[in-house]
Amino acid sequence: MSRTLRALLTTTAAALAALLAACGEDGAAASAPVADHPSHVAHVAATDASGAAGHGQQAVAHSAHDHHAGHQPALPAGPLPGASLFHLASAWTDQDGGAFALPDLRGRPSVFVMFYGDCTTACPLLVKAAEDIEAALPAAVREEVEFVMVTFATAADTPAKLKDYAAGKGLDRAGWRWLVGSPLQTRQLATMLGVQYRDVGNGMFAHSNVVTVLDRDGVPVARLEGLGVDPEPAVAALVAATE
Amino acid sequence: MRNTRGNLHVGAIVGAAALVVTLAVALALLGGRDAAAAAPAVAADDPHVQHTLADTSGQHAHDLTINAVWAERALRADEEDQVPVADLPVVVAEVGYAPNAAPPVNRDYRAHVQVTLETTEEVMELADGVEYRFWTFGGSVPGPMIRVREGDYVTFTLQNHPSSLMPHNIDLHAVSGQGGGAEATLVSPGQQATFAFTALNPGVYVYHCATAPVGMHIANGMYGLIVVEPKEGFTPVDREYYVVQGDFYTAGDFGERGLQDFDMQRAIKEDAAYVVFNGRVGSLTGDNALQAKVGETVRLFVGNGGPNLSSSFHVIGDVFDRVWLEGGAMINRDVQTTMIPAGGAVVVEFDTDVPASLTLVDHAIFRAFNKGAIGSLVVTGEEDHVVFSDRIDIRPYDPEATAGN
Amino acid sequence: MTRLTTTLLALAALAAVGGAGAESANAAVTTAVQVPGGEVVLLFPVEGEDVARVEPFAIDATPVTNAQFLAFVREHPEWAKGAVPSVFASDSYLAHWGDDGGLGTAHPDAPVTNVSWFAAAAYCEARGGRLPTEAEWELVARAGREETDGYREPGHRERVLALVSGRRAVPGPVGQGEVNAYGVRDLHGLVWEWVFDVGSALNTADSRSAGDRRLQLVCGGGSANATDTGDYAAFLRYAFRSGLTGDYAGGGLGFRCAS
Repeated sequence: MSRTLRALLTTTAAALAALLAACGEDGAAASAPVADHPSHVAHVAATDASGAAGHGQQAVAHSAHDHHAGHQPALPAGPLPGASLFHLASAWTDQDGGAFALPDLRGRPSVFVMFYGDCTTACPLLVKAAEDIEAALPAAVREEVEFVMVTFATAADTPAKLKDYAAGKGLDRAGWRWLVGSPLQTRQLATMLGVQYRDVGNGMFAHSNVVTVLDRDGVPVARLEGLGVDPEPAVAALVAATE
Repeated sequence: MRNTRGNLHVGAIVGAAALVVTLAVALALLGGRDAAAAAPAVAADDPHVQHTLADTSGQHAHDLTINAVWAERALRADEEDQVPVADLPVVVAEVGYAPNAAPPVNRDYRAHVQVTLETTEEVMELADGVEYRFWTFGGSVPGPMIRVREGDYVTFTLQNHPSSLMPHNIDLHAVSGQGGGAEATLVSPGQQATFAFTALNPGVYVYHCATAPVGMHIANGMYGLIVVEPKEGFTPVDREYYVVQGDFYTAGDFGERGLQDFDMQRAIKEDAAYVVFNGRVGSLTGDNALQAKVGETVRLFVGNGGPNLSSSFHVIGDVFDRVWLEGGAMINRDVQTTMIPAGGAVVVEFDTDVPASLTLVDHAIFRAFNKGAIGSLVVTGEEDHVVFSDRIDIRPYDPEATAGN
Repeated sequence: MTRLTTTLLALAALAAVGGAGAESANAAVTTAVQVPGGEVVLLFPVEGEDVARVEPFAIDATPVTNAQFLAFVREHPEWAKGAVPSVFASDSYLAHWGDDGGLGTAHPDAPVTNVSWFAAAAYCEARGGRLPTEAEWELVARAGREETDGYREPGHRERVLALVSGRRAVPGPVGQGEVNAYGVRDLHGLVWEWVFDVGSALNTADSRSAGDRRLQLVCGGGSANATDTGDYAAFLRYAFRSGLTGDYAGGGLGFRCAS
């Protein structure tokens, strides 16, 4: 065997051995596709603001606080209830381009609606339903409630487009937050809210129509499913949540 | 014989009629005497023998209109139906595992009934040496019989055992509402769901799992009966039994031993390998035979879970004195064989007159003898040789010998 | 040059053997398989959407194992058994593992089960991937032994149905099943698997009313009637998915990742 060949084989064998060792018994580096370097995976996890970071941890400590709302009540003490949606702590972008995370809502009841800008049939009715709820609230309650409108169209509905949409309805004002996020966090939120949706192409989404009321701790307390549904249970739940 | 106008003379007609009558009487007398000569004498003083049918008719008299009461009036709203649900007494339903029927409701007031069923998936015997992966309500095929009263408010909880691989739900044919409860009760393994309904219609109804693919869930044994008694209740009888027919589609043929898989193609072609009562061959034969005594009235609640085949239900050796057509309010009388559609039910009642081993069959007869649709109801008690004698006589028969004489 | 080519080929063969040896000796490494894009007909398509178009993607050849998930939990203790809030996982989360932070009696190479959608999504995200979409999963699952469209192979549907029906309550180790035309295993015979878009089927829990356009509840079309009434394994799978919520953590449900 020539020296060149022997050298080649030895180097390759050594490289193979190193590869096997790195992707071998040590479970911590496991399961990455061979192309990924273990340290790259950890890096992604730490800095990916739209994903795994902050799951399950005390949400308040880890999110960016954005206090666009003028009214800032004292945060309730104690750990977040297990059923609270605020465990989803990743940051979204609102209609002003600012960062907003669900834990920022803690201390105020909220109303969540998922929609998208190019939806011409049901979504305007959903937004109207949210407006109707707002109008039916006593003034003192209304001041505390935040209406959070989250889009399915994570690519098409940019913050600027959301601002236009909101302004067109006179809803780009205090108490109304229009959010866009990553595909993952959008699916995470929808899954928590029990909202079904799918991208059917051409910028269209098929989706269920749901309005959800959360209490000050982010726990769902009322849910309106469908269009043309009586908003009374939502109004009552909001009043109860502010007592 | 004709008169001047061409019509038959009246006298001729009368005379001809008289001739016919005389001949008929003569034949009858002669024939009767011959028959009497051939039969062995029955002792006139045999105490075990009823000499005339007149003695039988009074023993089993029923108010044959009982179901008619239920049929004649519209669904009614009595005072008890106005009571708010919160004020109703709460009753936990007592179910019946086949072949035992659930006990009669025995209640003359409206109640809030709580029913709980658990779905499980388990390997059990379909026939001797033949095992099958059944999907069940309550661990049995059919599922238990539920029994409530017309107007009851029923809270129904369906539990899916964590060991199940499939989600399940329930559609009760007695329910007026979306899917018979199917949407409200879809449960993944390790979940339970509850919904409530009012039993508006009396009758005998099938319930079954309605999770996709529905045919497979039913074919694997997920069916049973829910009986809604009318407010007046049913006439008490001596015996009540619960039988449900079903067809099974296995990869192997009838009798092929081992654990058999569900065969989708056979099910689509409706080519059943097994047609059985109560989920297995032999469920009602031998030691498992149903029992009754002479002189009793027997009521069978018979369902047909399908999934595909209708049943030509017949009991060999007796006649159905009353058949509640399709489990509803109309009664038919004196019926030999009654149709039970797939996903349907019937109630048959018969009065037992003589001891016998009665045989329940689907009279699409190859199913009875080659696929397992056969069961027994053993009636014990005193003989009645007028209603039915055993063989009276047997002797050689040679057509040649008779002709030669 | 010929000698060099021969050498390179020999080395490639050595590497292949070595790689395969590593996989069977230790399931901690999951091979990802490249899947070309295509069109897939979903069992319950949404009205107006005849086929779903899928871009090329990569998917794990086998489901994620207990050992792999344990490694993830050690790095992300917020996903440890008992530490997860109820909104992200129900009480049965990792029920089959030990209570001391280890696997207990659970087999390390068996697919991890009793994991909720949120946990599965977090795992894939931590690995730089994601859960496969329903369309992607169905595209890969459609393959038979030789053909990427398994329906072209006689007996394919029956085989898959038998695999699904015959599943064991406690799944065995991954990698034992037949490999399909894409090089992916264990899609049918081990566990149900999470997909990214859990809430996208838009059919009701009662599939008999699937043809109803329930305008009030759903915008943009409810699910139309089933496209292939003869694929019972697909029905079972869709029915199972239709009942799922994100926090469900059941014993027969696992996942694999895509990217």
